[in-house]
Amino acid sequence: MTPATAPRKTGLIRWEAVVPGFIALAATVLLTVFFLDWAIEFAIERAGTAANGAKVDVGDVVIGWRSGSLSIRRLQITDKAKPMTNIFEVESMTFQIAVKPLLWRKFIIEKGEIKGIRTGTPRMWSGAIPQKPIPGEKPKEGAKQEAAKPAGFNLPAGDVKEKFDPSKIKVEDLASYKKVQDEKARITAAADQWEKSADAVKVDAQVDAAKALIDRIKGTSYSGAEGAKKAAADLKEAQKVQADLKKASDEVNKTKNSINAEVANAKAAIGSIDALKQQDIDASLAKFGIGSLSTEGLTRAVIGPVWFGRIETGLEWFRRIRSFMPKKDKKGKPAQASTRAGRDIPFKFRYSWPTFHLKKAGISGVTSGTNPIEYGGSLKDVTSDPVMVGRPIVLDISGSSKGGARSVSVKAVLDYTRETAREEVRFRYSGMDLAGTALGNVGGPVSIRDGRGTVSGNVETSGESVSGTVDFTGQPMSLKHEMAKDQAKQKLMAAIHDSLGGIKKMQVSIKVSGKLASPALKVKSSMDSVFKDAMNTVMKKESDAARAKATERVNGLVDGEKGKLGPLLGGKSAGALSKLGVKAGSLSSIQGQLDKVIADLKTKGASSVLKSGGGLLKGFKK
Amino acid sequence: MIALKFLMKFISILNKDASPRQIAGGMTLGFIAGITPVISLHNLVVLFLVIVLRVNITSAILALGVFSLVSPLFDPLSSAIGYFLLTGIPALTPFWTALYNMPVIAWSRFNNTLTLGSLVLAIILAWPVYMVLGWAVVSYREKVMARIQKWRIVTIINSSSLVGMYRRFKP
Repeated sequence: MTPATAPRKTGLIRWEAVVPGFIALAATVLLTVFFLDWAIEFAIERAGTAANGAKVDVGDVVIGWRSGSLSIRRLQITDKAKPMTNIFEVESMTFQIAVKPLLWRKFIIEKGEIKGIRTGTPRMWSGAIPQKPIPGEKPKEGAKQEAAKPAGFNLPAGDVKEKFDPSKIKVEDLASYKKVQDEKARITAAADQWEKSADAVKVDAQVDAAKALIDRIKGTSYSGAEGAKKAAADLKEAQKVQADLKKASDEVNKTKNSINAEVANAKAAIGSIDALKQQDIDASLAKFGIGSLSTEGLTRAVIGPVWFGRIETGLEWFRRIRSFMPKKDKKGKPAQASTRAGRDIPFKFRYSWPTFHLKKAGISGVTSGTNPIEYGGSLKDVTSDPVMVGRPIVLDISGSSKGGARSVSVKAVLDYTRETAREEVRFRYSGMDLAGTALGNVGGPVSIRDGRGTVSGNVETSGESVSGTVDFTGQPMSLKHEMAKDQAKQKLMAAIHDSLGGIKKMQVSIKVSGKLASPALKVKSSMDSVFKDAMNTVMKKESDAARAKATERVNGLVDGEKGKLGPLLGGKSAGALSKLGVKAGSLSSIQGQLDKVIADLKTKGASSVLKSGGGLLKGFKK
Repeated sequence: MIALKFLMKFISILNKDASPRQIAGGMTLGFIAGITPVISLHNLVVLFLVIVLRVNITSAILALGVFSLVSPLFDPLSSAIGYFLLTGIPALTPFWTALYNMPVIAWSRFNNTLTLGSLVLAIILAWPVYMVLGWAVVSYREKVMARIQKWRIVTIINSSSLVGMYRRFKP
């Protein structure tokens, strides 16, 4: 006998499961609360790792439910370039969170304390993560460092005389030749315009009218009261013609001045061709690594791409911070999310609480190495909505070592309260121990043997523009340059090696400009003159000979065409100026005659009036 | 082993253990939870419904897993819908503002474009998904199941020692 199967239950609701359902819900909520510290730890590690590009680890998170506090202990942020080292490690971070705003999912931290910040601490395990290329993301640091490799530095590998071939200088590569062609075209086009302008100035009608009037007045007798009236009328007409002649004369002069100004400009442009020729010669020699070996390029090679990369990485942090700021579209609405996390749209809220606001946090820490610097300061107004808070993010840190031999100060103001984001960072780190610092590579690695240094900077951004300087001074200091034996045979390399060995003080100023995404770094250094001397000593004779050849070649290619420009300009402008000169001459001549006639007319008119009675004198004068 | 056990259970349910409506209902609720961000306040409601409504829980869990995997494909559309609802309809602004000002409600993240958009999309698609899945289960049982049971590979699998061992230790 088979057991009877239970009838399948129907109906939409499992009434017997309602109570367990509520219990399950309550258990879920309780578990969430119970494991919230773990969830926060996980969230910090995940978001931090994504932002940093290398592992971010949190020791533990403790939530103080009664006090409304959150403590994060032993936060480690891996140095992406050195996965076994932390960029910095924080002993503890304690935040006092306002409870009421939490009901609206607003995290308002009234005060915080970030203690025990240490830089360059070793890690127990690697913090590297597999790198995934993200479409549209900027190249990684390594790629940037590659791009930052010195462009102007190029040591000649062999004999200069054998390497340099002037016939390889092509006319199409010369900026001076291009300028000659441009000027030729410009003068030719302008000359047509000059001719038209000269023709457009009409003086014949005015001259003819003046001539006719002069002839008529000369043939007229002015006697008696009738003569006085006639003289007065003719005088009026003569003065009108005189005004017309002046107007025509002014127009002639104006046109003449305009053409002369353009001719002067063209002459100046022709003059500038010589400077371009010089640049062409320098550029041609540089292609062969001769003569104009860039001292800036050499300085860049000595400092090394890693250090330039760090400046760029520092600037990139501004962009990363900006990416967390709320964005608006053209109509002022919150911008649509481009990420897979969506975007929170804010609405009018009865309290002025942003989603996140760290009002103030104290910061303290120590630097690494012997005789460390103990520093302290504050971080204010870190928020998800700077416009609502109305104050910029301000980081202010300073400190010094025992005895004051070393000191550090950083002041950063990140202002996102206005439409255009602005950042300003000022920093100074003095008394740095430079021994063993790896620099760049000039035919072999360069490093600092020993010394102390100061690095300071002042960098400002406004929107996408960036400007500022980063200065480094090392004094006293000495450099170490390792060079292979075969390179030691090269005169120039040996001279540079000796120069590097003789450096006791180094001042480097890096000027930052351009766009935040692709900053331009211009380097000036006290090493420039040292390198120049070294190059001149070794290469002067050979490079002078090469320069003479290059000059001869460039002159040969450019001067023929350039020589034609002067006559072309003279010839083309002369026609128009000559026409204007003739017109000015005829105007001047007839103006003189008319002036004389007007003077005579005034005399004749006055005498007629005297003869005919004093009553008319008043009228004539009038 | 857990995955195999789970799959066997689902096949068993699909074949005879549960009604098509229960399977479709469970999968629809799993679809709602899966296509929206899983850690959301509204999914507590979905969890409650899965327990209280007479739906198949195994199907719901399976659908949650499957739709969580494919949900990134829907994210751009969901986010666009959410953005439109939150910013594109002025008549709704007072409603959103009122919700925004209510305590606790903000934890639902209703003002997140992806959360709102995906929830609305899931609710719109819930009925068609339920109907299609119900029809699919019925069709499977009527047309496909018997044929599959005759497949040589199924016969081999059913007689394999692994399946035999599983059946022996099945609680």
